[in-house]
Amino acid sequence: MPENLTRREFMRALGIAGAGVSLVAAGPATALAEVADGKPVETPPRFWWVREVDKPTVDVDWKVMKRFNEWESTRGSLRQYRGAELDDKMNKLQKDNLTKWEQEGKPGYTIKDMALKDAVGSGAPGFKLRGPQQVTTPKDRGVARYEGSPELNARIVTAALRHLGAAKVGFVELDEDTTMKLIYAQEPSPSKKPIVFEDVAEGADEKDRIVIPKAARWVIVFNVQMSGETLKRAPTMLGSLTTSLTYTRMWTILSQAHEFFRSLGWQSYGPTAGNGLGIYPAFAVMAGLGELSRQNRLITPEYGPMVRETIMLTDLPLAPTKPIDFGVMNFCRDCMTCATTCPSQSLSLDREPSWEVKGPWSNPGHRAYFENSVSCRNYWNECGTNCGICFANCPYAQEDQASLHTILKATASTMPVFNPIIKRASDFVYPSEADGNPIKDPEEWWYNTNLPDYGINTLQGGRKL
Amino acid sequence: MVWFILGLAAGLVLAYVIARSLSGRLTVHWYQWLLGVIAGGFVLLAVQNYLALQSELEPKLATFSLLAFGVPAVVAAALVWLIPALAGRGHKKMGEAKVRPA
Repeated sequence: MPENLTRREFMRALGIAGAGVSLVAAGPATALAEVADGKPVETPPRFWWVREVDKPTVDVDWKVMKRFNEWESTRGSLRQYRGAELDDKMNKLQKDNLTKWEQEGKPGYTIKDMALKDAVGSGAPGFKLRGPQQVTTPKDRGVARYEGSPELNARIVTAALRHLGAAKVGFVELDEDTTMKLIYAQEPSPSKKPIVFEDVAEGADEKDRIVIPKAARWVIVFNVQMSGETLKRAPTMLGSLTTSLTYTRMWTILSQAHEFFRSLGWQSYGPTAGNGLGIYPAFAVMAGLGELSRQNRLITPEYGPMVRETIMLTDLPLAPTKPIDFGVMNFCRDCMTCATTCPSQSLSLDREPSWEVKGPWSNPGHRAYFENSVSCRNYWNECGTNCGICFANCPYAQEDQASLHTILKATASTMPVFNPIIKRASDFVYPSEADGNPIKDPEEWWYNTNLPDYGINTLQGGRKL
Repeated sequence: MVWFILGLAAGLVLAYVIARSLSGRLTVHWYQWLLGVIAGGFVLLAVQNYLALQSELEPKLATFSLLAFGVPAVVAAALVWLIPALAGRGHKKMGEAKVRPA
């Protein structure tokens, strides 16, 4: 020790050393704390401006809500809603437009765009109620099935689904008086099979109905990220391909998840057709993946509207995740960007959501910004794709590398008084009209070959490698 | 790398100001510290957002963020010198009034 070391210098050195030791110890100490108290901490934790709530931000009257038939949406009954003559006319218009645009080489509809759209829609496994059912079970392997607490089970399932490609995972427990009503009464066309819950040991996809055991009352809700950069080429064929790619990935994850549960020794039940089994955005809201919005679809804190979601049921007990509030429904009151940029004016321009549905394609019982689904689908025919302009123009449709996005989202969540200012700033930077033109140049997408895999940033939302 | 250089630059400026003020060759009032921190914060926000938005392929928003954060940074930095300068002129005027000949 130097002879001329003063007390001041000694204390300063102690302080710096102590601070360094604290920082180094904080990591392992935190990890030990996570294990020691027995409560698995969600990794990653949600942003601080996302609040868990007991009731979702969309008002629901469970007494009015009934189990809906999937085929009653415009996916199954469009011809009935718009009439056979208009249906034939719009289908022909779509076919003629696509042929014409491909021949002309219209940006977003060129032969390479069409080819990639065809490619991303292929490769998905078929739909089976319980999945492929090919992997071994614990019984086959001579071991006991997996057992764990609901909290630990939720953590295990989350980790597994994330590794399979899911972006966010949540859980809902079915309740006869509430969340059970979000399960479809009948599957999509053409099967239209009734979905029934019975006291049976195992469920089955029977000839004229789908039977699910009452024990399979935990719903797993997960979403898969879409490429915002690609969807900003909506409503062209190029823009729409990220939707198709995401669905292909989602159905693949679903199929693999079925096998995961089978290998664990537990049952799982999923849709028997695309968009089947239950109302995905509704379950996603109840599970806390996001909030319902003016688009009448899900907006998430991590990815905005750039997700597609699905569900499956299991008898493995899972700790439910709660709905969240991060200011979306409030922001939607002032924003209206999706509605004002919709080329077919199908989205609601009312300031407040309503209990009144716009047509039989929507299920009553919740207060939402109901849309005119028929005029929306008419525009799909006109542009030749599933459009997506509302998604592309949403102010929440941003990545999260720039701190500006977090600042704005946190402000909207905690100080909604600034929402009109945020909206005006967004309009100033991105003035947009309902002209049906893509926000970004489709041709430029092909030459920006430095996009990440699937066009998405899998570290978005606070993920770590 | 950018953040390493920015951190180095910020550290050097801070070290210089602290060393000069400790040796008595520079007087830094509390409001100048505050404005300096605010200006520094806005500079960091401007740089972070500009670079990140460019990598997000949003050049328009990148330019907007440069203005949105850069202008307050410049204003805050200017006030660091402006406030004492204006205060100094005010003291001088008061001094002249005191010695005005009868």
